[in-house]
Amino acid sequence: MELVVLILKIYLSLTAVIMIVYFIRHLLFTLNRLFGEQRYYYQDILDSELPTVSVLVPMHNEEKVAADILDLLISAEYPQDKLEIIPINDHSTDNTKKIVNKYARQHPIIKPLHRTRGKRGKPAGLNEALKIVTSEIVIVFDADYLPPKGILRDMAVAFKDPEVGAMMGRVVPINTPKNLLTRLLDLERSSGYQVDQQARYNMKLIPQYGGTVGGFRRETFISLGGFDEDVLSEDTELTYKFFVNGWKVIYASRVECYEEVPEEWKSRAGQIKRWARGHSQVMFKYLWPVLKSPRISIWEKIDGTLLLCIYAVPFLISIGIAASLALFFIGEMQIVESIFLFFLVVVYHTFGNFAPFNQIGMAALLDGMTYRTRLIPFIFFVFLYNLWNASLGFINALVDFVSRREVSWQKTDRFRRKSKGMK
Amino acid sequence: MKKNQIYYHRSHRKLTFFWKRFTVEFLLLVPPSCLFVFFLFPVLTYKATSFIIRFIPPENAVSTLGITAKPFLFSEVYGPDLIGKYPSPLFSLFVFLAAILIVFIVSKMKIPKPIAMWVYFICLVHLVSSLFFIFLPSRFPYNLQQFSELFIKTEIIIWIFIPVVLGVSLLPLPSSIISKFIAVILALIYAIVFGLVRYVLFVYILLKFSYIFTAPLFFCFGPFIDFISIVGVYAFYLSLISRKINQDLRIWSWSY
Repeated sequence: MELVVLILKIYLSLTAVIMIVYFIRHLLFTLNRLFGEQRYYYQDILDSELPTVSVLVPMHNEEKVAADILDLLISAEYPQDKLEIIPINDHSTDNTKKIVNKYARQHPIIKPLHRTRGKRGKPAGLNEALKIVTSEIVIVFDADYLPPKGILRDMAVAFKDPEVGAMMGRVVPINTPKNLLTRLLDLERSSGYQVDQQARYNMKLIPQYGGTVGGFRRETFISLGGFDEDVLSEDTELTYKFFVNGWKVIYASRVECYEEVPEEWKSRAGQIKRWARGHSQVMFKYLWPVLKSPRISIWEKIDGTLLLCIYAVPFLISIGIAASLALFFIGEMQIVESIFLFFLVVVYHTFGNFAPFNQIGMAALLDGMTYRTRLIPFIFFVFLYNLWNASLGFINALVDFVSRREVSWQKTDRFRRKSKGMK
Repeated sequence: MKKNQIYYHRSHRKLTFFWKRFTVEFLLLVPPSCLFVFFLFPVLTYKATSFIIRFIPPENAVSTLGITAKPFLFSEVYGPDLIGKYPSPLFSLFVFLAAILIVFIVSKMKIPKPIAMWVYFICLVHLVSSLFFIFLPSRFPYNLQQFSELFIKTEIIIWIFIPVVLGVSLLPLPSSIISKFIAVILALIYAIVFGLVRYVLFVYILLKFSYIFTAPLFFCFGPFIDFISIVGVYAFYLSLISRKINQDLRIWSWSY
């Protein structure tokens, strides 16, 4: 029994140390974003020699949203002779094919790719599209996104910098007022982009390519092996693939695009599980390459490692709660009786969003939110929910890693009314 | 539409950090608040314990006074010297079955999943506790005195940390020092009052309904709950500040 107690105490102490490390990381991000010098993106560069761009839009049963994004991309004000739009109709069984074909007949720059064979999923679809694309730059939008005018130019101009392998824009929820979940997700997105991504860009760490509202160099990425079709977070994989090979991923806070966040808890659970699983798959694949890569600075390695392991933390906390419950009944609560327990609670209380409450608060302040900041305490209620779903995702990734099983893609539900392409 | 003023875009706007002002405000607020808790907690715990003792049947008291003092943070923390109640096997079984029933009912109800998760968690702790008292009641490692000591010590640590956490979070904001002080002091007073009320309530529950609720009270309604009020004060204050400074160009800086 003494050995069990010792192991549990060591485990809890280590978990507390890990939480403190993440707390310090996010505190530094918050201070940097709030008070530090902000690093610009390239949106102020004007250049008539824009690169050729292929916009890929993965679609699986997207009849509710397909027409909206195609309309917006057509009017996105990029030179038409340098632009092609490739909707990737990935095994859709609804009217997506019909909508896409209708647009293709009307607009020659729309060149649909209909996939009916092969593996389904975003990475597989993107890989197949990369085989037919000829442009220098590939830009990806998820089908529920609403790109504004000028966004393609703002995104493409980043690749004038020869060190840039990929870039990422900012995602802003459009359906925020819908319900409590969408409002909380708006706070989460605000924290993730306004503080986390911008601070990592400011501090020359590892801003993350997010798989949508992002672009990358086609030839370079293909030469690095393209997307691993068994990884659910193709975006995280792309980020690390570029970094370990000496390329930079940059963040463009000024390049904003609207998205539709989940409006139902069930969809949100699926999203967290998929992100946690995919992200952790990348952790197993890239942890060692990141640590040994000679092309990454020491600070990038530290941040890259912490970013890779972030979805392992909810799992560690879940075990930590079970361990503290066991210690409680064994009568060995001294270890969590004071400062340790306090840190456990304080630091990770708002970790449903992987950020302490003051990071979310500062992001909301910078974004100009007023009354919505009063919802921050409600994040408490999603703490266990996020902890549970992220832990499940991590466990799935662990099983994927050990068993080498094949994974299947689960897309997030859409909530928009059917768009005009359906009329 | 004509614009009289062009505001900074949110992408690169920032605030200026005033080190000297922050340091002075921090020193004026945090150490005195911590010292306030430090010097006050013996009195507070003594008063709360006296209040408890007044309403406790004499058969539950161990010593004549019914109050025990334990050393803590260079001072003493007071707690009730009382004997709690062990649950009967039947009551433990009842709690076990009730927890399972609640899990079943909630799983069938259409309530938001995050709330359901909290109910499941509370039920899980009740399940573990009831199983413990069904099979190993004699191995339960706490008596009421030890549990109340554990709870109140955790609370005191939280009280001491509230000015630190809120001070670090609020003091850099561009608002008046008075308003920040009021926010921190209110949060602290609320936490102390709420902590003491729960302290008394927990002792009452353990005396009246047995030790089976020790773990649920600590894990589900203990320090977790304190944090909501801390974040609540922070969020409310932030909403007021944000509204005030949002369109004030004197406060915001651009990029550098």
